[in-house]
Amino acid sequence: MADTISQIRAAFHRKSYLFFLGPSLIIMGSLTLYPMVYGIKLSLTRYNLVRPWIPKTFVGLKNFTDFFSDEYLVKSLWVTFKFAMGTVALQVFIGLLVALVLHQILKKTSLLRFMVLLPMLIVPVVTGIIWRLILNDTYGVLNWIIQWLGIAPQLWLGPDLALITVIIVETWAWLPFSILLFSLGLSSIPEQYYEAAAIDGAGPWRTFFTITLPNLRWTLFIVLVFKFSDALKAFDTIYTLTGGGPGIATRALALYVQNRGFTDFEIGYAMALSILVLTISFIIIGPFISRLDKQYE
Amino acid sequence: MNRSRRLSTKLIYAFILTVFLVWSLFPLFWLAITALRPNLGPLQMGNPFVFSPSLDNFCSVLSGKNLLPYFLNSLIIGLVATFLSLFFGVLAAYGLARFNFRGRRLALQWILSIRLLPPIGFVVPLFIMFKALNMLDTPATLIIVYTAFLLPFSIWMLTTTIQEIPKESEEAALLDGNNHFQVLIKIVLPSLWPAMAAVALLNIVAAWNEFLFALVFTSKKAVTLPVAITAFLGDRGVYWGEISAAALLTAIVPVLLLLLVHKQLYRGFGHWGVK
Repeated sequence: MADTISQIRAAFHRKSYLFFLGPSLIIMGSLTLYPMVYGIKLSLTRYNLVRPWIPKTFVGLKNFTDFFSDEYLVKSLWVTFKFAMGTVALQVFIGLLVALVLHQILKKTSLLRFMVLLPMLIVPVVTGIIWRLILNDTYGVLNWIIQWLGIAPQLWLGPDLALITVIIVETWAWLPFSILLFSLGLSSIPEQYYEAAAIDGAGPWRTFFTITLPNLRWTLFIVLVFKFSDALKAFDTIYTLTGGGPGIATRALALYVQNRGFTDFEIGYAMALSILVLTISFIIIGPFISRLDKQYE
Repeated sequence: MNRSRRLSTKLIYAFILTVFLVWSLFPLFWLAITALRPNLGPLQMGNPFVFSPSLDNFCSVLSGKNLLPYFLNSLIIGLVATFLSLFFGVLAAYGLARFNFRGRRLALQWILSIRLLPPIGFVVPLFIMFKALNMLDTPATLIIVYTAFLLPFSIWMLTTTIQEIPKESEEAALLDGNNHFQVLIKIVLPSLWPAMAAVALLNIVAAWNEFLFALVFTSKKAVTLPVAITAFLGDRGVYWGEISAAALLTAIVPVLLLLLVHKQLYRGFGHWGVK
């Protein structure tokens, strides 16, 4: 009997995992690891696709040292930073507030909860189009409404307001995501904790700060990691809403890389920028990755 | 005292919820309104809520070659990539859930990081690679790319699901002389269907919504719906009715699909979100 059990154990330890895991690792590897290695090589060259008569030349780390004299890069890092801070602040506070309210009054899987999720299910490109419709300065419905209320119409996508508008539209689309994570976090807090607090005579605020908030630490951490790394991904909605403009007022990092790579076709420099973006992203998601996978050991 | 206080809290809750619902749903309502407004020209002012609805915009985007080829591209690319990511994803998930091997932790971390890193970081080298292979603007390219970038989510979701299944019956089956592959087919798969269905829907929606790769890797033949709509935006800057109709038709597909699994959505998104 002991023999057969060790046989089973052995079967689970054999190399046949490679048969199961191999194909996926090859597919993912050839589309992420290989391009990265190749990309590092590209980032050390000057390589312009629209000027094929200039040969691809090795320039060492020049593309990386060029970062320091690239005003547009600084501007776009700054835009990305403000975008990240704005979306994180709005989505954490409003997300938590709405999740708390929903938790009090709704069943876990009602249709209303689905409706709450709707904005994040909309194709991001369509989100951009919808808001362009609403925000258009001459015939958009928002300006019509505020004029009806007696307020002067605004240039929502003009140089002063464009970034704030972009942050609000992104929040419209992804608030459901933080609501959803907070809802899950809230429903995982045992009811007894609240009962104990009630017996102790704790009011709603004290209950919130001593029970709810501390138990949402992990959720909060996940939301923060996702929201900060999403700022580096932000592309689709900004592309359709403002195209990075007016001027470069809303050109976040992803759009800047895309512009340098596929408008200017400066492949070498765009690749160096890609490596910069990936590095920043790694710094953000690193702590998350090293913690999350422990849960599944 | 207590009762009136409870009533006022309820009113506050109702107020917050109403504001939030209006904020969430009004833009979608407005898209539908614009699509239903007959094409009288965009600069018409006056009360934008008063008009007689018509389906002209829908007819004009659905007739002729306006949207159909892109719709087919999106559909085929989405379906094939979803199938492949699920097929290889199930295999990999079984490997990760049921085997203990050196490098397992590293594999999990790597899979997670692909899911979280920004796709823009991979676009430039992939573009040069596909250009060298003469594969730009083909559906195959998008299928391969989507499969690779959908795999991490599929593997992660399915691995956690398999880990929740008790493995006693699998051990018994192995003891009866079945190999791992047979065990996967006969014992694991039957209890994996619900999770697979949910992952499949989330994947097809993610592929349907994807924009960056499609924008960069396609130009004519393999263009998908989101890219086609943004081109609409450039070409016909003033035909808001038609653009809205096209946008509405594009957006409604994922919503209907996910309505099917909305009960599992909370769990599904909870692990990572679908982005």
